[in-house]
Amino acid sequence: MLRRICFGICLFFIACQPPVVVKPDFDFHTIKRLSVEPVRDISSFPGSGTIIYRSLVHQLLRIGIQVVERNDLSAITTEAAISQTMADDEFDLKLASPDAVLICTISEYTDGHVIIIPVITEDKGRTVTTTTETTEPVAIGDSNSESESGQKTIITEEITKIAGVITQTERLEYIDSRVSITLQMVHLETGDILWSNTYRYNSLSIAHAVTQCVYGAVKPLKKIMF
Amino acid sequence: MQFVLFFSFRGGATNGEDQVREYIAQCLVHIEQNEFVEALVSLDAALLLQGTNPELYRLQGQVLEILERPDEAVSAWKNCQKFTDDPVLREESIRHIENLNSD
Repeated sequence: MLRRICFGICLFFIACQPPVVVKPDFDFHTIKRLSVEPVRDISSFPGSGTIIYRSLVHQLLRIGIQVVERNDLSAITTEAAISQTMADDEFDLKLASPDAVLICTISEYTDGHVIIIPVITEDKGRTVTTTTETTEPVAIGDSNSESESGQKTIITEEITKIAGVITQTERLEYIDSRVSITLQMVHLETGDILWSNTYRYNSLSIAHAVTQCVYGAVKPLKKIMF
Repeated sequence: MQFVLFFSFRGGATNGEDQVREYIAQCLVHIEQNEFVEALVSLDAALLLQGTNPELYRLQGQVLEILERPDEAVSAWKNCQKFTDDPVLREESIRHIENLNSD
């Protein structure tokens, strides 16, 4: 029992902890462009890093943040070089420099989390009424409650409520997907961590869980950057 | 001389657990086959018989999210939050409601 209470208290404090941490007194309006570091795969799910990375860039653009591509730089320079050769112009590839970099760590990425649905049997309880009839001899002359045989009948009624019971007769299982990520924004000039957020989401599809998790993680940036 | 009479008025156990089990099983099969509208129909039928089961509301919320019906999903998650005693499930419900409300 004590363990349960302690667990409940711990869980309460964890739940109350704000997942978003912001460096105080920093003007986030000075951050115009972000770059996103490549995201490492979680060992159990190859390719998860790339999926999260692409979703992260998509969601940042969706909320109106400029993102500078750094990961596919070689592909961009090659493409630019080819274009330059074709056009025969002066090769002048200008890449905008970001003000901060976003680092993402995947802490959970699974599509095999088992959820159990209990099939509940609900007994709503019942009421038992017990009626007891007793006869007692009475003194002669008591005209109020005297019967013909000189006996008094007493009827008592007792109502007992029996509480209902909820029992789980069967359990059915299904599988859902869970994604959990932590984001950190690092200022490129000073190296300070400006902002951090942890978010997790579950869904019936891994693609939906990724989208919602990344969206939920990135969403607070909208408030501080615009 | 004593007579004791018993009258019993049963509130009654809810019938139809077999039906509920069947509806949930149908729902899960539909989900597996990505037939989310059909899954929702089975789930609604199960909820008519067992309207206080928070796990059913959780599943309903998830199906409605996939179907991109956020308002109904919020309602399902609110019911899940209402009927559950599990703090983890309650926290999960709150997260989903927040996420859906901000869309």
